[in-house]
Amino acid sequence: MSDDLKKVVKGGIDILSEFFPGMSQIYFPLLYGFIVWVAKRPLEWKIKILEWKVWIDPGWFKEKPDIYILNFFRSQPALAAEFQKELKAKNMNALRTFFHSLYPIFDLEDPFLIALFNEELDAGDYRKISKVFSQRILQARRKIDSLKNQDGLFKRLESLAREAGSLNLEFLRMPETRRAIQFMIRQNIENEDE
Amino acid sequence: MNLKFLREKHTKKMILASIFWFFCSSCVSHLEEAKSYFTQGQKYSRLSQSEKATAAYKRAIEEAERELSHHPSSQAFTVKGMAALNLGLWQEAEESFLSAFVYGFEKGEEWAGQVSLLGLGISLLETGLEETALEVFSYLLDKSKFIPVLSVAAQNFAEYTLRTMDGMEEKEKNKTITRLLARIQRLTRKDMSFGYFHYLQSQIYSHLADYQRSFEEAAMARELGLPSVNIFRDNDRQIIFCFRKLKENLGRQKWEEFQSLYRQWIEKWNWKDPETPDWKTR
Repeated sequence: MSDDLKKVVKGGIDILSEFFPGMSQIYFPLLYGFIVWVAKRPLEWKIKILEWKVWIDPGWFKEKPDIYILNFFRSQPALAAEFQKELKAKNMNALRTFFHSLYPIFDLEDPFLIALFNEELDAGDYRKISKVFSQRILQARRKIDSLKNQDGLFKRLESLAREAGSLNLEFLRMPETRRAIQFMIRQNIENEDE
Repeated sequence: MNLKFLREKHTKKMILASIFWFFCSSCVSHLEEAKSYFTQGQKYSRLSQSEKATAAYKRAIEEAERELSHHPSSQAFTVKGMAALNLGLWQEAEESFLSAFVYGFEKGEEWAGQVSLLGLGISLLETGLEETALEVFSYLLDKSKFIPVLSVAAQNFAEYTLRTMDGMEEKEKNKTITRLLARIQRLTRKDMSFGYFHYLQSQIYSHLADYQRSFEEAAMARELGLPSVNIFRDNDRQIIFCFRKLKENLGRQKWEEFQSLYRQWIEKWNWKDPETPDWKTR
């Protein structure tokens, strides 16, 4: 517990002295108030966070009737020419496979897929799109970095609050604790000054 | 002078305190962050902004993993599984959903339990355990009271049913599709205003070659709203497909009646012509 507290106080001083230098006289009331306030919150937060429902989104309906698939290929001159053989033979197994990769590009105009298969689209190599479809998407996803958060005052305060949130409220309210925090703050400031 | 100094000092204190207090009201845990990034990912997915969506889902996984390393919970596993699902990481998704069940769901977390079951069904489907997945979707269709769960279960159940009709005789096929349609119609009665259920009905009517009904349901779905750009566009494509088929199949008088109705709709939707929706660029 005291280690956690030390960590929070040290973190608080670091932030305050970096962003608001030369105002050490207000560090104690501010930091103490902050720690106590945060320590009161975890239960409320927890309930709020756990109550936040998230869902899986549905997608577009991929099982189309044969006639829909034939219509798709026949209504695009470039595709009708390229898949002439399959269309003539009504080779639905083959056409259905091509449909699943080409329909989102040609008819749904998915911008990500259009960019991803730009080269093949320009070259009219529609069969290749189907061949490399899943693999290329997976590779592209792998290359994308995860979303970054902006570091700064709020981010650092946030992690400080998380640590403060794990402290015991009763413990923080004890006069001895208050004195100890005050002492820690003073000590931290002195150490930084040295 | 002194008074002015004190007032300034007090103001500075107040500003600092406000920063802390304002910030505290938005303090978050890793689980909240994971949920927040997942929601962002969905927002981007719905708009077909796949790169941003991928980045957000990856971040959701990272945050869920941070939460799990300190406070393992069924909800953190659920969110991790959902983000993995959206990245096509089926194995990882399956493991996360199974772990969520190991931790168990508390009272009030019924939604999370059903989302995990649904996610597990989807990952099973993608890894080839189709019949088990179908049982999961069927169970949720009967038992769930959550519209978002019902919509995904219905989509997967309907797609699987239609996919596995190969080799059936025409009569048997029609029977199966009619039964499927009745099941989806029951869902529509639970929430008439949910556009996606009408969209599903439109798709299924199309398998029965009932293009008039398919058109009506698609128009209804468009009016009520659909969950993503891709679904919206697919629905518009269905409308155009119905228009073409009805043009081929209807008698002169019925076609003229339909055409007049169709013109009113596309005028309302700002389409350039009967086969060019307003969003079409290519």
